[in-house]
Amino acid sequence: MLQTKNLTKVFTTEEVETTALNKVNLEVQEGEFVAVMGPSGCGKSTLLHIAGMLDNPTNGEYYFMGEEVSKYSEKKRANLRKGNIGFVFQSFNLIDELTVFENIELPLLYLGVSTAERKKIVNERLEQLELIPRKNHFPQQISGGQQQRVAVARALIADPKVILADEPTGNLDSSHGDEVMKLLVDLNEKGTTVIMVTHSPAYADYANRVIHLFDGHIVTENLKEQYNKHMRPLSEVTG
Amino acid sequence: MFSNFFIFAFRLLRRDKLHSIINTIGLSIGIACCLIIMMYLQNELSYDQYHEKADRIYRLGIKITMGDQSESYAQSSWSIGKRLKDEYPEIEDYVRIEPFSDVLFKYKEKVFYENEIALADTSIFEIFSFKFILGDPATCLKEPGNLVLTETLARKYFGDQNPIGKIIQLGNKYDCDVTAVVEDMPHNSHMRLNALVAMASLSVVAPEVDFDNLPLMEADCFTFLLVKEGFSLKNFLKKFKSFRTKFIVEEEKKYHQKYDPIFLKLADIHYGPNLRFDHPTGNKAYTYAFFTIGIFILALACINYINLATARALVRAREIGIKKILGADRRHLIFQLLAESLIATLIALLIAVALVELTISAPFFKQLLNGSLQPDLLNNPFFIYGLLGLWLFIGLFSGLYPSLYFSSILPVKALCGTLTYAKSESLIRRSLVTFQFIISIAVAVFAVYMYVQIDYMRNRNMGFKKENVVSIKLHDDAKFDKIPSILEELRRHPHIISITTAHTRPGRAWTGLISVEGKNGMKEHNFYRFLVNYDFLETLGIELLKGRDFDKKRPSDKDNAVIVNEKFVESMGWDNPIGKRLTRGLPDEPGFSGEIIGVVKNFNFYSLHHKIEPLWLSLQHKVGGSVIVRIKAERFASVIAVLKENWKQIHPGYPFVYSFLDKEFDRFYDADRKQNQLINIFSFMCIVISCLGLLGLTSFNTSRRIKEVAIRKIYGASATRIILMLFKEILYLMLMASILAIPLALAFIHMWIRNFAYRTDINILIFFLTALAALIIAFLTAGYHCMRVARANPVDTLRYE
Repeated sequence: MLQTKNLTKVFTTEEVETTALNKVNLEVQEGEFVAVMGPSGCGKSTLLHIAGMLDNPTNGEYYFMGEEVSKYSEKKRANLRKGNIGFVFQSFNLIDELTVFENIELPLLYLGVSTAERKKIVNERLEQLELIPRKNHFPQQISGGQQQRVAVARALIADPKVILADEPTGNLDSSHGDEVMKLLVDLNEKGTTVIMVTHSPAYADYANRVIHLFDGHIVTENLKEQYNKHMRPLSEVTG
Repeated sequence: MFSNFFIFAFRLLRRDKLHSIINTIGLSIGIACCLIIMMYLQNELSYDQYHEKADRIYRLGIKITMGDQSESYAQSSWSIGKRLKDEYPEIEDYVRIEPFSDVLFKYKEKVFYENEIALADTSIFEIFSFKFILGDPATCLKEPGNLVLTETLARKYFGDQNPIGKIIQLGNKYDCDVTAVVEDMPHNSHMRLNALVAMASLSVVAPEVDFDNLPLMEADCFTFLLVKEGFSLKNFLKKFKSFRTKFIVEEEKKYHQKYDPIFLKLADIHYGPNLRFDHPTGNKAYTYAFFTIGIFILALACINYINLATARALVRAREIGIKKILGADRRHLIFQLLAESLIATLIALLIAVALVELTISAPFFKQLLNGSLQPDLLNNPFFIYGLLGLWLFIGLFSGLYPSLYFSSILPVKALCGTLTYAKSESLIRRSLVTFQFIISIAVAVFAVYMYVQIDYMRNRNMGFKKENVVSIKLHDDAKFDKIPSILEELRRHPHIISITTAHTRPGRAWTGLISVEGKNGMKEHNFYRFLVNYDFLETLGIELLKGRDFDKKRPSDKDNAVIVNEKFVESMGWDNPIGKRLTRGLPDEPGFSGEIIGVVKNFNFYSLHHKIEPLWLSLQHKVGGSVIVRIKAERFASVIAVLKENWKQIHPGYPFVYSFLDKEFDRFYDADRKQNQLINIFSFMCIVISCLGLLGLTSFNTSRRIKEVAIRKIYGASATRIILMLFKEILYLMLMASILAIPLALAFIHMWIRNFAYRTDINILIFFLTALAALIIAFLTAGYHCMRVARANPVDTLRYE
């Protein structure tokens, strides 16, 4: 699905150069659920941004669905992103001036889906997420958990092949966090590739694979089996 | 998709109320000013173009040259129109128009003096476009005494009655029958006639004159020619040589003058050359000034929009970033941002239309603009197109930079919060606000200078005393034989300082050809002349420098005494002017032969737009013109009552109407004063818009510096110190603006002052005080935000750090 070869990202300010990613080699297969862990500033979010084609690497190669995209322009990246990648952020990143319905509708709008079709798809999704009563509310009128559910709904609405989640539970209490995790797991079970950055070992447990980053390097990579001893049934987590 | 843009834009406006209000008010004021200026310019630039045949109408004036001197007149001979029509097939028709002022109209108990009452040929309705309310254009001016009224005059005399067939007496003598009523001529007419009298009436009034064969050298009436389609003036002037040979050459020999026709297209008259006997023409300097100010105001309003929009970049960057991540491409975002700008502009536009409607209906503005702007905005297609044009222009122009700016934001930066304002952006924002103040200060300096100049003109010593001088016009049928004794009696009145009569006086002078004794014999000159009575110099306080005044005890003074001004002496190069001779009329058959008995100090006998010209004064043979009285200021009312009483004996049947000489002179500056008031208003608006810009900038700058201020306070900075720190930036900005405003203001001033022969110096204090006022206004504007930040509790600010 996606693969990096010697992926390097260096941030340069007037006097300081910071290497956020240093020759990272990573391959994620279709249908995988990968958790990325590591201390603050280790390059997790940078990796996610490059994986999501929000940013270009300084060096190295990046293959997305077999296409080398590391030198792509913003416009080309945007086109490839559209419909293929869904994003979920720690701070939800809903647009305050749009209602729940309109926020979720947005990716479809940019894909050129007709109004009637958009309405149908969004309503179905709202129903699944039990958000129908909230559809005309503005983000600031609903709870944090609901906001993140809306953000997940928005990320999924165009049926992307990959979901990139940057600490999706970071701003939520445990019950709301579990709710969002459940959504991601369900999604992965239906075949969507998920890459999730998290600080929480408990949530990382739900991934097939956990990679640890430190100072821009991948330091360890554990398959789920190696984590089995930590695993608890989902029901135990969600209560 | 579009409805989404609009809904979103509305929600955005609602959320960010302060910015939205600043933006909308600034834009509304800007657009309203622009619309008013646009309508004013439309009116100015469309003079006389409403006549259907305007592009085929020429006015024929004449230029008379004598030696090295020439004079151009807007009028021409009574006979030239017919002669041209008879000679040249391309001249389809002609009309002669001779307007009169102060014509006494009498209908039953209604008696008024009316202006712009014209004798006109019946062809006037063939050539010009009049809208008839009553009557038949083909016959209404055919017979002697036929009178066509405009709607206003018809209402004034007849109210709601049908005026057709009613008799109005003109000049206390001539009975005229109303044959038609036409709509008032539009304000954008160079000549706004109020009533027309049939030219045929001349055959009754002056049956002995053969008007069709009068000399061509005379400039007596306006002649308009209607030419055929495809007429070329260039070709016509070539053909004119034969006309010259046939009619003009002989007259030129007789009068020792050279004759040249002046053909002026109807639409070019308003901004045409300044010709004698012409109606007041437009002043292009004002047109340019208003156009420039209109553009400036528009620019100021747009700058506010751009500045406020980009200042919100950090707030909006997240939204733009999310949209980009969700698949919005640049085109989408540019569309969205332009739509927002168009919506903001549309709201401002609607408010502006209401403002314009209110403004131009207000009595103050009506008076200021002579009612030339019609408040019926939505029936003015120019206004509607202008509105649409302005909307698209402002909406797209001010939306363009923000849309390009925002749409180029990288989503990853926006979401990581690593987006910061580049130094260059802050510089651009500050430069734009500085630019606003450059314009505002320059326009304000210009407005103040205009005021100072007009004040200077009103109060400058003109060389004669115009205060407490009353003038009363005498008509042709006054009891002239009674006047000298009445004047003699009035002279004894304790509160009358002096009394005289004159055909001409300051404010009203004629020129005429005279032969003056020079070093090499008699030489012809075209000089101004006053025809006055005894005591003229005393009544007007004109200072005699050499020789003597006219003397009642010397009967010969009546026939040949002449007093000249210094300029006359100077232009003749005389060392001793007393005793020098001058004659008027043709050199070989002089009509007047005079000798110079005195020299008066130069005085301005026209407004200070004009330089002092050579002038000569001689005595009236027959009393006439106006009675001029100098009164003791404090006894004004009692003297007027006495004058009114005596008036009945001089002019039975005429209403007593008097005017003040100083007010009459003041009126020469009416146009300037009105323009000054308009510039004042626009200058005020420039400042308001710029202050809104500054308010936006300060709100943005202070909110950006909240953290810095909090830290400074924690380390001991006082609120005053913080405020001074925040004000320092504004101070630099204003100083820069004040300095850069100087050349712009000077350019404005020089463009305007060209029209004045007498100019007050440009005082540096004007710049200094205007800049100081602007600085104070700027500090007051910025004060609120600066105080708020300076007084905030640092703990509140740093709590989330």
